[in-house]
Amino acid sequence: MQGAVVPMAEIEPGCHLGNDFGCGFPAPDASIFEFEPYFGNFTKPVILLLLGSLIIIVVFLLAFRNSKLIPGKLQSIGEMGYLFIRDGISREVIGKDGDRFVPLLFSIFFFVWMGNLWGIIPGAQFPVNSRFAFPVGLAITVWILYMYLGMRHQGPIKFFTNMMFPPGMPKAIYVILAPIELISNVIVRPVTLSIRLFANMFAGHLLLTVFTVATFYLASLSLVGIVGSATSFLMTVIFTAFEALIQGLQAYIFTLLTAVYIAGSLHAEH
Amino acid sequence: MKSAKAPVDSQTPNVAWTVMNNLIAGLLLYGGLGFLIGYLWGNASVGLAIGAVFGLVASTYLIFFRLRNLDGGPNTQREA
Repeated sequence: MQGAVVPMAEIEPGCHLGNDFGCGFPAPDASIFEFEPYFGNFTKPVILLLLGSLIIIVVFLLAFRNSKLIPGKLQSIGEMGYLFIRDGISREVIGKDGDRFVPLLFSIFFFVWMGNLWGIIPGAQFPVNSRFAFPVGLAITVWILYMYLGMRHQGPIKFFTNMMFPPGMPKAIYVILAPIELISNVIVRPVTLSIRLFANMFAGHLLLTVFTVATFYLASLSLVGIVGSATSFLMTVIFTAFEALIQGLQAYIFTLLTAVYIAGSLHAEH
Repeated sequence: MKSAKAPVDSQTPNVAWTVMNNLIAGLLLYGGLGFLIGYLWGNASVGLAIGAVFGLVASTYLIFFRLRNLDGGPNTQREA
């Protein structure tokens, strides 16, 4: 809750919570996603992002520092993560020749997940990917990768013709459907990829904030106050658990789609 | 989803995930085209409506076509 929420009685006596507009429920809006930089251009999301990357690096360095045949606890967890990406995503979607993309998929998965996870970590409580620039950056990376791979593996022009003309269609229909395929694969793909991640995190954070603010706003020594506040608090807890699920799921979907796009560029549809 | 051995298998999730992208692309492309034609004709909103519906129909056809090719269709060998 940044700036917009003004505490209690400063506004008028007997007022519980309010914002710049006076006493009342300070409904969270887009301003809760905006932060003043601590120094330079380092805002809270940037710091969390860097910290998250650092945590991932340290954890996996520790996990694989001196690998043993019979792994310890941390190494087992690290290997589970790795095998999940390799067998669950890469081999499932791309096939054997996808093994060289496992490091990339692995990094993307844990980077996105860590970024999302900040949303429910006490103290931080801000999902990094709810700032649109971060998903966009990831999506552009993926876009450049699959466009490059497609042009290299299928030929610069063949790549687009394979994409636009799925085989076995009546010739006349191509005129109508080929542009759809082209736009769908080249323009809509990165857009939906980034928006899917961004919107999920944005909505989740907003939801959590609404119930957290409501818990404070309703709290008073009356029946409505106690019941309302307790219910809001319960909803905060439930939605936090729900968010934990969504965060993992969105990281998985982002990685899965990256693998799907890479697979589409490696093997032409013919 | 079984283990990836056949290329058809490995393309199955791909086709499923393109459904939404295809719908959006069809809507944008033919909705936009309809809007342009309608604008030149003098009634942009009618053009937009017709174009959007046409785009959705076209992309739905495309989706059905590709999914039919996936299993049991006449073109099963050539995976979609």
